[in-house]
Amino acid sequence: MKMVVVAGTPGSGKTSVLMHAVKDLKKAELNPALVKIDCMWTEDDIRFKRLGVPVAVGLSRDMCPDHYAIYNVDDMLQWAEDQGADILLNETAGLCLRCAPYPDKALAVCVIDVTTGPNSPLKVGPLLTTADAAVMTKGDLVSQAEREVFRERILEANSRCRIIEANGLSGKGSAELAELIRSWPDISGEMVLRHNPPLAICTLCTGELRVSKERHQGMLRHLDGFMEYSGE
Amino acid sequence: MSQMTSPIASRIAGPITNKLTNQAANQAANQAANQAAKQAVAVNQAVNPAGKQAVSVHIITDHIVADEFARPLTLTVIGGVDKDGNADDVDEVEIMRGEIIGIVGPTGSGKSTLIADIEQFAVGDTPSGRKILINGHVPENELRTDPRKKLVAQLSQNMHFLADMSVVEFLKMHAKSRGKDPDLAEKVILLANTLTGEPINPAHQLTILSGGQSRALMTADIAVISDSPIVLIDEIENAGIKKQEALRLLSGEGKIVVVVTHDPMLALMASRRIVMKNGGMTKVISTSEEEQRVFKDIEKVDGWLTGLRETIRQGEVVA
Repeated sequence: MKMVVVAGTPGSGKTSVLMHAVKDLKKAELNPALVKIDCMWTEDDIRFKRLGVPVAVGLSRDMCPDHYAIYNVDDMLQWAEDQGADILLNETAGLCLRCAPYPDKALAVCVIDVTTGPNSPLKVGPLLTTADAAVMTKGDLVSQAEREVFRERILEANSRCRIIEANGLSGKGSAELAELIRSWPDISGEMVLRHNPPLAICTLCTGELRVSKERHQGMLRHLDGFMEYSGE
Repeated sequence: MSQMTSPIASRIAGPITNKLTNQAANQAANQAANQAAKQAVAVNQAVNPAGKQAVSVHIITDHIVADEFARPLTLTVIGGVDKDGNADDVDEVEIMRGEIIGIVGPTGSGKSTLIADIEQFAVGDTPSGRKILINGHVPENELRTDPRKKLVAQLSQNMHFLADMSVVEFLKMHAKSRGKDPDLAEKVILLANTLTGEPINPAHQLTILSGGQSRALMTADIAVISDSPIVLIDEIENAGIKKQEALRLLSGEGKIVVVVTHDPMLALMASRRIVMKNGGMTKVISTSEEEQRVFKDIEKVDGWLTGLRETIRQGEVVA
């Protein structure tokens, strides 16, 4: 079984890029199964089902969606195996940019939207810096020079990653991504995360709604960068 | 343009084995080879209909080395399918060094798609299924993607900048991405300001440039920083800049230039034009002698119109 984790900010084109890659994987006679993780609601599973591949949806609801994805890796792999799949494609919700839900042996793909401007690769954090491949989308909306500057910025953030220029509408780049998936080794043994999730556990995590500062306890970071533990 | 002539040249001068480790020797060899190449060109030159010199030498290479891809001689488009999945009527178009070729057709006919196929060196992996060959071979993957090795410079229709950076900062970053000297930024701005009405201030944010200024800046950027042997131009006539001057700047010597255009003058400046319809390449027309005569007339009319436009732009009265 191969595992692919596709992360990226909402609207960056994760689903569209994956849809095209799924078609290419099927053409290569591989059997992908897809799990879409989202927070509250998603309709992406309907789009994927049209491609005739097994699709499951996981809604994280009150749990952080990336923590939820990580916590459920074993179950997702088991489900994919039950579907007779040889590749598990996991599309994350990708929201806060602080977590990178990449297990070390999975292919880690970060989808990043060129129209967010050349500073965005520096803002994305571990989602990009620990990825194996960065898929640049919406490049047709900017000039070649801007695409190339964007590419340079990605390499500044992660010099080892493979950059794929893709277009979620035309399907450009999907063949390259599918080939990368095909050539990726199977997962084996125990997997560990590539990057630690945030350390914070605080009263907000357990449901505190009141805003004022004195209501909060736990691992807390101040605006000036001071970090403290407050509590018993 | 020594970099253009050297593929023929290196063949005449003998094989150059390792470009990266032996640059000084290469330069000497290139110089010697350029002499030989110039002679070869002189022997083989043909005057194409638009009056440009085209090199009609076609070297067929047996084995592929990166060196040869770095200075391509021919670009071949192998036909794919139109929007309905029917095969292109044109099976193959081979474009030589020094040629300007047009792409014409109604809006939505697939001109920009064809340009995009060329830009990414499609290998049957785009919706059109077309393939692009350089010197008769499928190019290596890194030539498709690494800007430092990229053979293609593209002036697309999308010229609004989204980058939140100053003009000079952006250009320096672009020079870096292409492996060029960041100081070229100043030169780009100077050149851009010869094409546009209101000068571009290097310290201004990119996002406040006008459409014309953006196009002028990108035109100059291609001439100075992207300086690639294959240049793709998408509807430069809509740019609000001096189109003929821009085309002259972009085409340089010995480059392959592909121009998408609705403009009769630009279309007839090309030696041939590919006609697009419903996403497919339907035919290739060579510019005839009669068309060249028409071109001369259009040139006069265009000169007159350009003069009038400038007069009006400057707030003067047309006499």
